[in-house]
Amino acid sequence: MAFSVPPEDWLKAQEENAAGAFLEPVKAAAEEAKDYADQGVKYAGYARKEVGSGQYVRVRQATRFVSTKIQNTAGFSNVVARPNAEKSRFFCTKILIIYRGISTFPMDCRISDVVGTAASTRLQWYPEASGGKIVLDLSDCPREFSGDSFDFYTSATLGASEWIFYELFGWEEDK
Amino acid sequence: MATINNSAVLDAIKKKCFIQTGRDGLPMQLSNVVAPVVIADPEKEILHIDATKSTTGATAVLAINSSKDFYLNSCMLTITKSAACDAVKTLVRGTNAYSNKVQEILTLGHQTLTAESQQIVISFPQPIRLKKGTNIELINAFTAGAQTSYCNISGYYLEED
Repeated sequence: MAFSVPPEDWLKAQEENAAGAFLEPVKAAAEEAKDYADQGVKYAGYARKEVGSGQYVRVRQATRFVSTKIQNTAGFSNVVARPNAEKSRFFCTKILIIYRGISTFPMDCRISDVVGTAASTRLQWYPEASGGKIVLDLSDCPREFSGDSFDFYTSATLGASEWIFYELFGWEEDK
Repeated sequence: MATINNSAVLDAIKKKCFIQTGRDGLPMQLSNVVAPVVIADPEKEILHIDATKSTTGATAVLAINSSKDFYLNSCMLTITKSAACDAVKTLVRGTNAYSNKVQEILTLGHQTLTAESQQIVISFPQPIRLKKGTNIELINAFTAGAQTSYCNISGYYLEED
């Protein structure tokens, strides 16, 4: 398998990862991303993208790390675009999901890699009302997400104090 | 001799070779000889498979190839059930290639006659070897109410067993 040569800023981001900068203060990372979005600044290779009121995402320009906190309406509605989809392949090595305060019960949640397409669901899960964490380690079996987006789905609208935080780790290589 | 100019590569050489740059110079040139390296490990055929079941009983998540063992790398199980559902557990099971015994890979216990959603994930840094020609199964067991279970597995076959 041919790996593309990572740019220096990606190496730096990996060092941050090793230090637990992404995994430990997940909520802080979300706040940080919001700050970047609010300030309209670009920082350390991250582009910011707002996807609606109360929603914000942080996307690495090379889409090697994707995070999003969602407070959304029901359906496939929290799209994070993968603008290089035509030219590159994305391989996911780890999925981290943290959530809390689920009051609509039961709820169906999914990650799809094609906008609004249930048939492209790559992971489905049913959150517990009390909250929880899911860590799916695919480092030994990377999974290709071939679509042009990461689309996060919930079957019901989340309340103001309810949130689901997704992080996808992986790498992108040229087709 | 080709010169290395990429700072990340030079930094890696410095770190991985424990070079003390205060005393020794950093190697910055490549040999003129190109030495190809052949990786002789068998290629993996990676699979990601999921299955959903909303009735009682077993369903095959994966029917393992009859000529190759399957190496299970991770397994996720998630369920949602109604208050009327009397299930007490849901499980994923497979056949151990070494012991030739059917074993539970992942199990969720439930409070019977209680509405619940649950999920559990397990990763195997050293993959579990499951026997060729057997099934990895998702099993629901209830006589009343409604339950939906979803299982997601990742693993691989080796090109040559």
